[in-house]
Amino acid sequence: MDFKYLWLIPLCPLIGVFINAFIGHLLPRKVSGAIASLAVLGSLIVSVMGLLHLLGLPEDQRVLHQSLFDWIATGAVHTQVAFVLDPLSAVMVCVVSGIGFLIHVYSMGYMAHDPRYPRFFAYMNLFTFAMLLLVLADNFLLMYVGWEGVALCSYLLIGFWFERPSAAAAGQKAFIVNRVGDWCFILGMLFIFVTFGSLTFQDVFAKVAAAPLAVPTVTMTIICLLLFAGATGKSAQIPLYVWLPDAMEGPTPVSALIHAATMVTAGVYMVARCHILFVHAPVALMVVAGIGAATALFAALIGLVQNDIKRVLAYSTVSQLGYMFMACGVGAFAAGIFHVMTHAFFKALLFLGSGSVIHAMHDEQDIRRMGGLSRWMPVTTWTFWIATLAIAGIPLFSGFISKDQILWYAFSSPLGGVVLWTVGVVTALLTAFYMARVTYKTFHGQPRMDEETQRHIHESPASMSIVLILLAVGAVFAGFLNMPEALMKIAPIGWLTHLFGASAETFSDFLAPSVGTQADVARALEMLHRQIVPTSHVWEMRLMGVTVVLSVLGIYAGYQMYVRKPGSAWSIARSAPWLYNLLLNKFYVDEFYKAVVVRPGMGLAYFLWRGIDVLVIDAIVNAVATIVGIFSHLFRGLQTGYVRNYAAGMVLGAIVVIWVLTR
Amino acid sequence: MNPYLPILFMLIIATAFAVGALSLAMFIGRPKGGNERKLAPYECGIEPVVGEVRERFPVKFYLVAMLFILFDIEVIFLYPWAVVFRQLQVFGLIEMGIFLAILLLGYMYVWRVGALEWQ
Amino acid sequence: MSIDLTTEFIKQNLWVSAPVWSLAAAAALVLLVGAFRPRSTHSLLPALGLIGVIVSGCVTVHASQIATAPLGMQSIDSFTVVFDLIILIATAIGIIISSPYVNRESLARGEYYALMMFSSSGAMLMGASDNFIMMFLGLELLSIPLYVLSGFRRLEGISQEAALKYFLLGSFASAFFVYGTALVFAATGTTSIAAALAANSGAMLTMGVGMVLVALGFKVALVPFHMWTPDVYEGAPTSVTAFMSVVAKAAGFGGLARIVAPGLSPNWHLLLWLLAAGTMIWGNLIAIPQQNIKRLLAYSSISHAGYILMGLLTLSRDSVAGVDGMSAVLFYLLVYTLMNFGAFAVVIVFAGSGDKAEDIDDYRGIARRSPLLAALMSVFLLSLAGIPPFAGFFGKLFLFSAAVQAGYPGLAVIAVLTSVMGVFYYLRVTVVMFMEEEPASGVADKPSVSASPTYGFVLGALAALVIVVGILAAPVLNWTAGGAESLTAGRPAASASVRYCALCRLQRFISRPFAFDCTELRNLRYR
Repeated sequence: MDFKYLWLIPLCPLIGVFINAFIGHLLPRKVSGAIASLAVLGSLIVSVMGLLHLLGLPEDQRVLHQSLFDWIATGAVHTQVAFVLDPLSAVMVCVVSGIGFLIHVYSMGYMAHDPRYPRFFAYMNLFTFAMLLLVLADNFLLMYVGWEGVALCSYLLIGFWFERPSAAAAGQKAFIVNRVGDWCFILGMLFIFVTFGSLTFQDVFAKVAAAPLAVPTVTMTIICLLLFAGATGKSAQIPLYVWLPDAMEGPTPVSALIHAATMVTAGVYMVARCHILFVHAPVALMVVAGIGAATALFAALIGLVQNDIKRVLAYSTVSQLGYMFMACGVGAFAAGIFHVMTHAFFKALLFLGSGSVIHAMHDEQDIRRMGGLSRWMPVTTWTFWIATLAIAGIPLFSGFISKDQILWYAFSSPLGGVVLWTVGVVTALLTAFYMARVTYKTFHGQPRMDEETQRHIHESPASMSIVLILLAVGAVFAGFLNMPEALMKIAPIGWLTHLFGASAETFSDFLAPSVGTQADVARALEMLHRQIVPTSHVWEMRLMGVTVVLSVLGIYAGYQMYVRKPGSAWSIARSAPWLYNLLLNKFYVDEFYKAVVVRPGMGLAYFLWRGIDVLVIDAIVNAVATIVGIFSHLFRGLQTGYVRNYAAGMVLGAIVVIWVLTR
Repeated sequence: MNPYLPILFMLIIATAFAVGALSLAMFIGRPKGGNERKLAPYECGIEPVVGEVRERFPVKFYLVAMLFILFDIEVIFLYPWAVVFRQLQVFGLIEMGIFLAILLLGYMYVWRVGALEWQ
Repeated sequence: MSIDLTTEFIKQNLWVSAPVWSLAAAAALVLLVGAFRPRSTHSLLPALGLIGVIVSGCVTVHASQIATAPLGMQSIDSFTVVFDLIILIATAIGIIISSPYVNRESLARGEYYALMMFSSSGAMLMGASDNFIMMFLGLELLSIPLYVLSGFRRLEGISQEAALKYFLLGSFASAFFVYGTALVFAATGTTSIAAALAANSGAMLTMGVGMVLVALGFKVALVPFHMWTPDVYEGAPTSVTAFMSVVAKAAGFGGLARIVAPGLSPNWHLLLWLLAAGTMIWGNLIAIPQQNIKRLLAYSSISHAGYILMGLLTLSRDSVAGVDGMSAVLFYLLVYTLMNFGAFAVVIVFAGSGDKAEDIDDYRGIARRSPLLAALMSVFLLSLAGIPPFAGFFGKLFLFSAAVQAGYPGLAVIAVLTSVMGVFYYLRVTVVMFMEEEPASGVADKPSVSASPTYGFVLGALAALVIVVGILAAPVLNWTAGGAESLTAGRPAASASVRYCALCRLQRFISRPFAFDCTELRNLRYR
């Protein structure tokens, strides 16, 4: 039995796009929003059906392939529009369409008063479509279409309120920074094509698996580094993360969609999808892990002092993405994807919660002017707290389980080590602290807003709060899908896990056919003469203990500094003003880029425009055009309008024809 | 014998006839000591047209002439068909039926749109 | 002489010629209904014509499954089917586009649609004929209605001039065809195309086929037989121009394909090379200074004839590359039908009642008044210019790559360079529409140009098709490749040596470890 409905997954939102783009303005608002949401719900249903179908198959046959039509078939390029559903893409489509659906429902309430309502939903659907296309594609080229599609949609949605110059600029920034990454991705793709003669995942990966040493390691490393450079653009890693914090200019549901369901996970997904390439390029893997760890720490540091609620969340996303890449970098692709999933829940929850707050506060985003909101907004407060505990890594919340797996692999994997682990743990401490800071400052302590605003604060409508509750459930329990073996030994946990129908590492086992297991990675590395470090559960438990203690410490510190002694944070900042300013200004990275990349780039562009383009290229083009123009005016005279001349022309032509033929 | 030989003969005879007739006319038919009558254009015994030679006359003449030629030539096609009729048998009959039907369609059309009326 | 006159033979005969006679019969029906029914019912004639076209399409497909045996005069192989369907699609679009136009210009008469359909049946006969005599029949059946249609605006001098010029020069071309056929017959004693070309006997045959080529070259407007094109295109009613730019061209190429398919001698390659190069260069060069949009499109159609001839050239050369080339030709004819009809339809809408505004100057700033129409026009022009993602780009891509694969990189280079010239004059119209201001006088009293529902529908559908065919290029190409294969079916592969495209060579050079034979890929397509 075959599952033949894969094409419906991207098609549903595409239909939604067409309906909302062309006749959306004719429909009542409710209908247009409902159509968009239903379109995504359709994808979700088909995705879940596909996932269940996969689960019903024996483990080694869990790949559904469906090719729709030949797309480009010319010369050596033979590309199909074809979709593939294996465990990896099944998980991704479910996350994308599931979280995407909830965000769509939430947007119906959040955007209710926007004048460009149908357009917003058309873009949102297009975004979902592009992401689903990216995830389902069975070759690099089709994936690239989705890849560019999400970049386009992020541009459109971040700059959705384009009347605001800052929003328009943020949209452009996102697009341009992404272009840099995309360019690397294209290069990587071309390298792959040149090396393997194909762009289909199946062909390429089969060739690598069949003859891993046939391609020089240098080539593999270059390919992987280029692909990873593409991923840093999409997934906001150093050095291309700068667009993500600015992307907060878009409407809050857009931020949620970008951060939780689509776009930023594309890079992680791509790296996991190409894991066979990466494990044969250990140097590239090390770079991935290093960049991931550095980004995690770096972004967490910046997040400590930001005052815009969404900006803190943005940096926390960058930081969490760093974790995911760290996992991929040490070969624990399944752990990375698992973190993608849990992160989708609690990050969507955080963003939608902050949207709820911003909605209630009349577009106020500065946490210095909030406080004490818990008394007006109980649902938002408690769901936000759940997400905070999850991201901080409090035991048994989903974030704890996925993050600890990453940290454990960072420590134990042959590619990892103490350094990576330490960075990860410090980041975990910082994460707990800054999330506690945001939560306390927003929802607890004394209200700091003015009277007028205070009077209007209210809990959000049902369509928004129900979504928050659903996401909160996910944020709490998603972790049980992939409980580490070490924890299973503790009786209540094991019992609970079995209650959810899962056992130890269910999720990783499910993903294993698409992203390989630690054993596969080890084998690949063995071939490249790396030694393997043995691991034990005892160590795993000890390290887990350290992280938990640090996380709790971070939250307690936040409580102390922002609730018990509200002035203490400020005095610490004053004691090291240079550090504070450095963090507040985000390590001056934007300024650095402006000085080192943008300015010289503009200068070069100016020179190329005025010097090369106008004086050389234009001159040549104009000269050619003038010459062609002269000739064409000259020959035009041959068109006399007299039939006799035309007939004479034909006779002359016939003479030439016969002369050439009988030569 | 070359099958094209008769054509050659035909060519020679036709040329010879034309040349012969013209030269004969030149020798015996040259007007001698002309008067007005003899110099006037000969039009089958009818009074010659007076006035402008390039006179405009109704396009209907052309229309009728064209229609005549059209149907005339189509009907001529019946002759070769009649010659091979025995060989073609029923097939030939059907073919000619179709041909005449097409002709008839054309005729009906011409009639209906009024091309045959002199108004 | 004995002829096997069994019922089976008669049946086969009827089915082989079914595409042609079914359409002709439909045309006759339209003619008679137009003559016998009162004027008030004439608005139903286009619908009747459309039904006829659809029925003829069904008959064509059905007949191709019944009649298989070649009878020597015409054949209904897969090429005929693909070709006929392209012609029928063009005819259908032509009828739909004509109906509001002829009403607006008070040209509506039953004869109009009947002539159009007669002409198409002639085009179909040309593409199906295996015999010079049949092809001549098709040529005349194609041309004579077109002469009449060109002069359909009887009261306007320019239309009369167009008709007369087309008629005189067309007769001249027909004379070439007949004379060429006579020479072929004199040289080989047969008028069957395959038999005559197989005889390969000396200069008289070559001259004969050369003369035939001149006549067909006239129909498709190859340089130097193109000179009638701009005058006739400008003078004829715009809907007729659109129709003839597509159908007459396709018909000529269908006939050429039948002649070129058996494979020709090296001199022919040189000749076709020269004609293709000359046509591309000349057409694009002279298009640049044109001021009238219809003349511009006339020269553009000349240059497109050059591109298409390039594909035919590969067919004359070897059968592997030939299938590529010929499927690209058929693909291009289809795409050209869509985009050219689209462009002309916009011209009709913009020109307004009485066809007043047909100069490029009249298009200035028109995007302000009717942005949607201007955008649609740009889609068609960009597709004509060969800019991705529109279908025109893929049409050009396939033609050019076929030329490169067949070993004509030089010609492909010329084609690319002249396409660049093409981009200039197509874009000029777009630039004029979008970026220039309207002339100050009379802005106020000009209402926005809006398309009637029919045109709205047709234009939308054509633009969508231009994009969709671009996306689905490969399946469509597969379909046309089926048609192309039957042309070379009887031919042995001309050269055994494998040619590699440029990309393959680069790839083989760079990646030794995975030496990868891309001819495999190319063959994949035909499995």
